[in-house]
Amino acid sequence: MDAQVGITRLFFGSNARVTLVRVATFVVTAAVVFGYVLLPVRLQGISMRPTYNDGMLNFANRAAFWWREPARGDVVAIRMAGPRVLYVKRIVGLPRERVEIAMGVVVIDGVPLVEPTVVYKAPWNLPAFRLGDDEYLVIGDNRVMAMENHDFGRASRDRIVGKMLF
Amino acid sequence: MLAKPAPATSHQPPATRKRLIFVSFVSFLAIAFFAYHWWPSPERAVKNHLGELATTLSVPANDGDLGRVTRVAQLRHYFAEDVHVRASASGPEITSRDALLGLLGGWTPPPGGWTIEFVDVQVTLGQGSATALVYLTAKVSGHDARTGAATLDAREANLTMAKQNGDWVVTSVEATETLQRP
Repeated sequence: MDAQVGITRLFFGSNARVTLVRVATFVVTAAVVFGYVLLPVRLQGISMRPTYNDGMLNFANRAAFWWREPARGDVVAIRMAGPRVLYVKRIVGLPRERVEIAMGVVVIDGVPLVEPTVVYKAPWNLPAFRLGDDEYLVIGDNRVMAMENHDFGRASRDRIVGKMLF
Repeated sequence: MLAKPAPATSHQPPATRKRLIFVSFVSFLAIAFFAYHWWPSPERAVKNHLGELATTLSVPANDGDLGRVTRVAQLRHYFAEDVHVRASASGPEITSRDALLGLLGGWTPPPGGWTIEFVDVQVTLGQGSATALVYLTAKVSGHDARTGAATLDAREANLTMAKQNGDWVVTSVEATETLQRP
């Protein structure tokens, strides 16, 4: 009998009800936070080097855009059919802006963009185009490869899930 | 003098009654959860069928010719005879099951194999639950042949499915570009 009480105390503490309530609160809080607000993301690939390396763990913060719209320079998570697989890219162009890439330099409305996070720029060239009313241009920080081998492009606002936390 | 018998529970100590209510409530929640997630429905049948298709499309490491032939034979059951497949907006369209299977059968997978999963599957059933529109992400995990590092590729796609002779078959597949190139 004493052994049974000891085991119960070992798992549930002196007050089993309080322990269960604490555990339930913790589980529900974690499920809400990591299911709806901070989505855990395991980064795979090299397109965001040197900012992020392959295999890093990060979180997409959905709350970041509850009160403000995505801004240039934000590293954002972009959903595909849902949030289970996400692209992680940096916003370089905002809605209605005229964008072009000339010898690797992104030019926004005629002004070259300063990008301190991009270490090396391969000589990409992309003719000028204008983004739509809810479109953002997103590109990875790693631009050493040929333009054809890098996943980048326009993403609509509803695809942007959140901002990377770290 | 007549007396109405008191409910049996009133003889139980309050703590026991509360425990009983608590256990009943938790049991009810558990049953409701399992019923919600596993109760048979056409939508679930479509998802299960797609799960089996993903497993069949996955290629184990060092897969041989026999495995490839078997896989192609199994894949026949998942596609309609006049299936339409478009892998990219500008790419060619495959317009028959035989052409699709011929393409899959003639293609050599990477030596490390790969695993295909369909995630974020959204199913919209048509009238009479005989057709379905499916929006999903196809996730392809594998290993780089040179470095051995894990690789991940993903593509979102719209599928249409129809029930033919009691089985769901894919009638069209159209891949969608998530990031649209200017």
